[in-house]
Amino acid sequence: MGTKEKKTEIDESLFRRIADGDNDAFSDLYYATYKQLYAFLLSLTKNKEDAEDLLQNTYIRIRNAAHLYKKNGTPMAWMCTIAKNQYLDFVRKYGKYQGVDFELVENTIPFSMVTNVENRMIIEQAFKYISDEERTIVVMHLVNGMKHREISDILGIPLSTVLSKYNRSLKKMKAIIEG
Amino acid sequence: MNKKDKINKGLNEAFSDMAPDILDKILMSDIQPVESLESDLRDEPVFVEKSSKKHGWVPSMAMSIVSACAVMCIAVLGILVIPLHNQAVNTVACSITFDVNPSISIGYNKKGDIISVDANNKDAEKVVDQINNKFDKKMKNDKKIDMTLSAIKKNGYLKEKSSVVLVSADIDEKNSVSVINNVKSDISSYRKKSDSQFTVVYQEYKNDDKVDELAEKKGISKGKAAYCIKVSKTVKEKPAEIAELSVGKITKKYVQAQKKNKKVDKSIIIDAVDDDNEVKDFDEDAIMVDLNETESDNSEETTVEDENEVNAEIIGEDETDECSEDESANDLEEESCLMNDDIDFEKSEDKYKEEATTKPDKDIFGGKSDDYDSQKGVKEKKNNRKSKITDELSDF
Repeated sequence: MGTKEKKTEIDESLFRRIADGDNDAFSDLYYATYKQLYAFLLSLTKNKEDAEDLLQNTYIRIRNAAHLYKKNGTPMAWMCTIAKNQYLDFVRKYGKYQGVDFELVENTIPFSMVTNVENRMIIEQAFKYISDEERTIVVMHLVNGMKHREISDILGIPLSTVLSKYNRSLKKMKAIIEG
Repeated sequence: MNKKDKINKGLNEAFSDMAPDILDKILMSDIQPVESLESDLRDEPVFVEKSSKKHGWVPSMAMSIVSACAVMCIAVLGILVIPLHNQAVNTVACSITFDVNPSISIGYNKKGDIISVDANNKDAEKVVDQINNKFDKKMKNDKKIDMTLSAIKKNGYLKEKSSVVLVSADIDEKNSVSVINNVKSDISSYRKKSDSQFTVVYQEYKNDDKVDELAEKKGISKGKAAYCIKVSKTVKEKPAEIAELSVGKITKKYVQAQKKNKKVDKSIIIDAVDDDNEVKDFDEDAIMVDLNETESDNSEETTVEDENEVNAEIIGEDETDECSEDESANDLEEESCLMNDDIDFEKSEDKYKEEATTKPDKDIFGGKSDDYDSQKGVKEKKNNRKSKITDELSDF
């Protein structure tokens, strides 16, 4: 199973239909993307409730701005940019998420909902052993199926740094899996 | 399933288990079309350096107007200028990569100072650990480049004359091209100081999907990926196959093909210790390629496969194929293979040197003299070639 297979193909005509008030089109877009956007927001917030609130705000914003969607990059990149700015506004408002320890995060992320033990171990590692920046890059690439260049643009990090941080965090995780 | 796939699958399934379905909640909200998405699509970085924390303090109401003004001035400086300055100083504005086998990214701030050195592969991790422990903020760039190259050398690379370091800059990153120009003089002075003879290849590249894809597929830096794609156009091989080789071997291939095709990629600059050395390092191969060309010219019946086979035999690629390039341990083996190649080349070079003293250059390259034929015959016997072209040339 390669990274490529994980990419979500989003039909761009959905945005036009959503702008026309088509709820079915919005449902299609939602179910095609909500897990990826939630992963991105949970990686940033490290808090289940906050990620859920931001997910809701992001989709409301997407729904209200669907008529402004322009083909400039991928739909996922457009949606992630909106989600990121929702997160930044939230941080600015509440001043959260600076240097939260894993012990605190453990109680705010629903790891217990992950039924497969191995998968739970992997996700716990992602929040315990790699930095927020590294984890977000890994999630955006492996879960959201985004290219390093898109990640660099959205997070405002130089491309080479994205690549090195991605490689470094994967190595860390691989090393932990090896035990 | 390899470990990366395992992580990929694990993360996807775990987030899938955790993601809440809140579609109903969203659909309950009224649709209020927005007029602009400017603030939602702004380019604001998510992760800011720790040192750029805001200094949030408020002047006391009890202070006099004069002191309030003074305080305001300081506050303006403190709140606006210093964090901005810190951000500019501590944020990577552009970066270049060094690829030997260790692949290292060197990050520069807006002022052009080196502020980070990151490893892009396993071999580079050890090198970077050694450097980061010794880096001092006040240290000048040339000293940092010295330390980086010394650490690479200390780990067993860049010791041979045949070693090559690829220095790459993404032209889309602001200032990266001017940075690469400054690095040139730093590397050149390091070579002189350390009495090193490695070759440096400088390149500017445009990062696109092809580069992205190759870098990701092969686990190499964008710089090396871009280099492989450029070289593939000259050597007419697949970029993915070229990416399996070390930077040294890729460069060797490129120089050979360049001489053969007379094609020059202006975005690639090869800087050997001096002109003589550059010729020595690569020209013996080029001479062999030229001989090959002559052989091919003389044989109308030669097929592409035959030609490739002959080329591979002459430049010793069969031997180099035996060298694994992925792991650091194998890289030492590869180095030794390269050295063996060099020994063979030296032997050949001696023969050609002897020949050069007795015959004019055009005879060597033109391949029309008797000496050239006998030289070719010896080589053919030595290599035990069986192709049709060999028979024809022996007859000739």
